[in-house]
Order: sequence, then C-alpha cells, then structure tokens
Amino acid sequence: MNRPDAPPLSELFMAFAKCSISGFGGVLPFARYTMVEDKKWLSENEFADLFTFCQFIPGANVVNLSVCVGARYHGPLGSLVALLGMLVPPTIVILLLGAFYTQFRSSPLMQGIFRGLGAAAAGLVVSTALKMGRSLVGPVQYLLAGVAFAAIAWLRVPLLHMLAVLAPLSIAFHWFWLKRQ
Amino acid sequence: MNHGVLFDLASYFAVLSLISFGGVSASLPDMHRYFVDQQHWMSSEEFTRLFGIANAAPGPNMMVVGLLGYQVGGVAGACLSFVAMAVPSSLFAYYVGGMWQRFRDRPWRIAIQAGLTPLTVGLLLASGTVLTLAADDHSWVAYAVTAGTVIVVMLTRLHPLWCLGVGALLGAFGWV
Repeated sequence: MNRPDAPPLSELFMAFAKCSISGFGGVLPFARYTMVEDKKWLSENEFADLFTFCQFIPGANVVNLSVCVGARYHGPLGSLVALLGMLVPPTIVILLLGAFYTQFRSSPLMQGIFRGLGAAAAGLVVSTALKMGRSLVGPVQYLLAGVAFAAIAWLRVPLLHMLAVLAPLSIAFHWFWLKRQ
Repeated sequence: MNHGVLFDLASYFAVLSLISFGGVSASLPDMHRYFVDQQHWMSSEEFTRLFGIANAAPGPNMMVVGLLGYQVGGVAGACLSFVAMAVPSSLFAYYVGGMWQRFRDRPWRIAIQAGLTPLTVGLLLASGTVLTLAADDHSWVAYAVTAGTVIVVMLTRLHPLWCLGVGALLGAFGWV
C-alpha cells in the first residue's frame, strides 16, 4: 500500500515536528509551506481540499491534517508517526510552560503579561470567527449561526446539547435547500 | 492526585474530541463551562490566562488542552488530556478521510458540510465573546487590546504574534 514516492517515516516525523514547533500563532502557514512548497507532498489544490476537510471534521485541524497526510504514504503507521511529530514537541513545551506558570502565577509582572496575552488571544478568536462569517450566504445561514451563538455565549448550553438539536435541523434544511436548486 | 480527577479529564476530552466541530478554538466555551462553572477547578480569569499562554506558545492551538490538564492534574493530567483530545478525532479523520474524498460529489455529503458551517461560525463567535468577557473583565485597556487585535488581523497582513506581543508588553507595564 506504500506509494513509491513515500518519504521514510523519520522524514514524516521530522517534517511535522518542525511545523508544530515553528507554529507560533498557528501551525497552518508552516504546514502549508512544508507540505506544498518544501516537501511537495501535496499540490496547492490537494492541500486546500484536504484542509477544508480537516477543518470541518471534529478535532484540531492541523492534527487531522497530519493524520491524513501520514495515511496517504504509510497507512495507520504513517498517521501515528505524523501525529506524534505534530504533538510530542509542543507537549514538552507545554509541560515546561505549565511548570513556569505554576511558579510565577503570583508575580504581578507575570500576571500582567498573562492578562495581556489573554486579551489579545481573545481578539484572535473573534477575528477568525469574522473571517469565517464572510462565507455565510442567505438569511437562514445567518439565523443558524445566530442561534448557535446565543445558545453557547448567552445561555451557556453544553456544546453536545446544542449540536444534538441544531446539527440535524441545519443539515436537513440544507439538504432540502440544495435539492430545490 | 486522585484518580477521579484524571478520569474526569480523560472522559471529558474524549467526548469533546468527537464533537469539537470548528476545532479547538470553537470548543473553548464548553471547556470554560466545564472547568470553571461545572467542576470549579479554576477561576474564569485563570482560564483565560492559560488560554493566552497557550496562544503565545508554538504548536497547534490544541496546546490549551494540555495546559488546562496540567493545571488540574499535573504532568499526568496534561498527557492524559492531550491523548484523550487527540486520539478519537484522529481515528475519525483516518477512517472518514478516505471515504469523504470518494463521496465528495454526493448531495448528502454536501448537505452535511453546508449544514455544519453556519453552526461553526456561531460557535467561534461565541468562543470569542466568552473569552473577551472573561479576559477583559471591565478593564478598558484590555478591551482595547482585544479590539485592536481584531482590527489588525482583519485589515492588515501583520503576523498575529505581534498582537500577542503588544498585549504582553502592555500587561507587563501593569496597564491591562
């Protein structure tokens, strides 16, 4: 099942490890550069297609991406190796950061820095939402987004409950809507 | 460290892994609900601080899961939370990935994707709101940092890390 152009497992691991550790403020740009331009494992279009899928299914998008690219070349083993490459280096960083935070959480200087980081990071999430919001079309899509927003931000409904109600409704609506076109 | 906490962490993230449509950022309000409101493991301020640190660190934005786990259950909590969050969704990606390409033009596939997109947008916006309210907590400088970040990211091509840097700097001076 291995393709003739398959890179060795060690190369797969190193490539994803490098992406994840360079990924300050998001791994995606580094993942695209590595997969498309540096290693040429995927064409620009293949990358866009695969990333849309990885974005849409549950889980962290770049983590899903590593699983899918690994699978292309080495099946389950490839997925596992790529996944480890994506997760092991930042795990080490996070353990160090966690220890660092515990040590310094009561220092006023660090508390200030952490607060500043939190405020900026919140802005990053808002802008991602606004950028994605540009793809919405028609009043019903805006309504569905609005109801999902209100359920989570305002009513603080658990995610599972919100999805259990809204996902089937929204998919059914789009099914009939697409059929009519 | 009692094992009940580790079990709670693992089972919570294992379920979240399979329902985190829109990625980790979109499921932050649910993590906030669980860690702060339901389990009372940390304060709302602590939650957003950890989220800020995770954003400043390299790696997928899933890093926040490890930090939250670390805070509640130490090294074991961090590793277990990571594994619980990564494995179920990765198995899903592995098995569904091939199938999804094969059925790419089927109407049901298109309906599922089109149907989930608006919910994802709503979720992300909710996430941004919950984080802003928790992080900014009546400080107008903090609101300005959040708003400034949104404007810079929407209107310029500046790397987002600059916004985190400015936020951290203002924070270091004790202004946020």
